Amino acid sequence: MDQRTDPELVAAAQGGDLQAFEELVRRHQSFVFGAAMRVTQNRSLAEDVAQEAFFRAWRKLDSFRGDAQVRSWLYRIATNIALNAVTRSRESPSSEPDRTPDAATPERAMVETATRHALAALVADLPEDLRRPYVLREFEERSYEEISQVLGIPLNTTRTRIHRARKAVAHGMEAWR
Amino acid sequence: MTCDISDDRLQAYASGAEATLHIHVSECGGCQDRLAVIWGADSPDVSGPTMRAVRIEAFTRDTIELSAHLIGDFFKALIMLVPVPRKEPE
Repeated sequence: MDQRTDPELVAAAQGGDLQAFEELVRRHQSFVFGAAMRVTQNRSLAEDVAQEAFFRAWRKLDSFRGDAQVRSWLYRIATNIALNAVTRSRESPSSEPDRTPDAATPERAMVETATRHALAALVADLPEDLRRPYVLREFEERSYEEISQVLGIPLNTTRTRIHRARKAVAHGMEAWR
Repeated sequence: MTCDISDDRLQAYASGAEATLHIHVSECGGCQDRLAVIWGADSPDVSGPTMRAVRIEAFTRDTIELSAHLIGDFFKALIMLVPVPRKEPE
């Protein structure tokens, strides 16, 4: 097994060392596949997503910032591809057009899971100054006053930022309605 | 980085039942380590097909670069070899 660290492997791969990149794939494939499986809930699709994620990572190696964790970077790539894959499968219904998914079907469960992940990804993409108050309000159910105190920002600013974050999230989720 | 996310919550996240940890997991190395163990139990080997695609891409990229250099060198040589017509003195 290659003893080099992730940043060393990335640096070598950036210089064209394919063996270094292969070691990165071997090292992180379980994690990337798991992240994809979690979103897609479909083993075959998750395998495709994992391969695509590594392929895209290889293409974007030059843009990788050395200060970030390789696994975090791969995780984000894989999650984005998985979400897109689920969206595509949602937009392109199966060859059985008359079959409408109901609450009990795996398709419905997949759509619900994908919707949750789409929401999580949208929140993750919010700017830091909007994301923090939004998460405290929507997920931790803190009051505006508490959020204002925790973040050290005026109450009105807190309200405005949460409002802006809600608008951004609602806009992003329109495709899922 | 340490955190206090419980095993149950992380298990729920790993299976897709919990969605609110997405931001945390994308930044927490500790949780990523634990998830790697959970997810590592039953994962396929995708390195073969991935590296085939990467090698084809690398080969194509190298070939395009080489072709560009060859064409560049060809035109340089052409410019050097083709005599420049001189103006006849009047």
